[in-house]
Amino acid sequence: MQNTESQKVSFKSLVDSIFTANQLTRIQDDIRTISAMAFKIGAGSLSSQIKPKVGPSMYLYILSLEKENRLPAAASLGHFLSELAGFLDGIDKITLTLAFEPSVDFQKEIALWLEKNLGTKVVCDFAVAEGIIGGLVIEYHGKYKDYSKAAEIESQIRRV
Amino acid sequence: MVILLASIAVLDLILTLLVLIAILKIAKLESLFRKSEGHKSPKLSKNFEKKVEVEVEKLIAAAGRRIDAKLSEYFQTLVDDATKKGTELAAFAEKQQGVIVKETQFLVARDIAKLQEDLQKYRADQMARIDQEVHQMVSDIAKQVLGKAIDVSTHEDLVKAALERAKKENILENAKH
Repeated sequence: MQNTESQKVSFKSLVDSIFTANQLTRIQDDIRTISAMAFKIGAGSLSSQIKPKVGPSMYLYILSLEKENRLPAAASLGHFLSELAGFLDGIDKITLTLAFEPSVDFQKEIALWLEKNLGTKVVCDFAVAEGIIGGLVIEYHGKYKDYSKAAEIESQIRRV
Repeated sequence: MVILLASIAVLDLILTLLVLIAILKIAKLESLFRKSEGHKSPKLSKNFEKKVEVEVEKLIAAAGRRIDAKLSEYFQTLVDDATKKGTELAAFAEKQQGVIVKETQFLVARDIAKLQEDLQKYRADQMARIDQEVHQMVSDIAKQVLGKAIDVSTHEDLVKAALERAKKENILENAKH
């Protein structure tokens, strides 16, 4: 079992690779999968056993922990995964509706911008609605704001 | 009309009485004449007859004048009554006409006001509906045209600009902080 500070660092390397709500959900699913396997681990490394059953982010994370010799022992693995799941559950989610399908790079750029301006880790739940024309619609902590071009056009028309 | 008929009946009765009185007087005179017939000459008898006829005619003429006067009086009363009733009827008719005109004017004014109100409401509803349809059409067309005209780079710029606006408007305030 590693100390708390090193665990936080270990979490960070995984968390930094998560930008979207879908990625977060996948990681959470992977944690449940590994937790279920933890009692049946046989010969060979954990990373090799989970590789066909988890996403690349989780696989690479476990692999890096193994390489750095920081993966908790089998007896502590359940606790470690439980703490990781709890940490991920606490990550903020912000829903952004866009008029186009954002590239992975753009998703990452937006997530980092939000993280920087909010001062906390967030994941973005991207939705696409061509009807909004451009801009975006934000839903965050129960607040809803329409910054779309469609809303602007509607507003302009009402003023005419 | 009833009064007139009653008056005529009374006059007839009076006339009949006068004639009877005249006949009685004549009969009395004849009786006197017969009593003295044996003593008087035929010439005297003839003179007496003439005098009687004159007296009777006088009586009848006087009675006729009285009847005419009464009839004139009754007719005048009847005419006066008819005139009075006619005047009253005319006044009543005029008053009723005024009431009917006022009532009609009120009803017409009320109907016109209601009609104007209905028309105004209908007009407002139709205008609102047309307005809504026009807005919807303009909005749909604008969305179609703009939606196709915006490239990915512009889309990304629009998203970033929107995020900056959200930041300025404190939409991105972290509730946990």
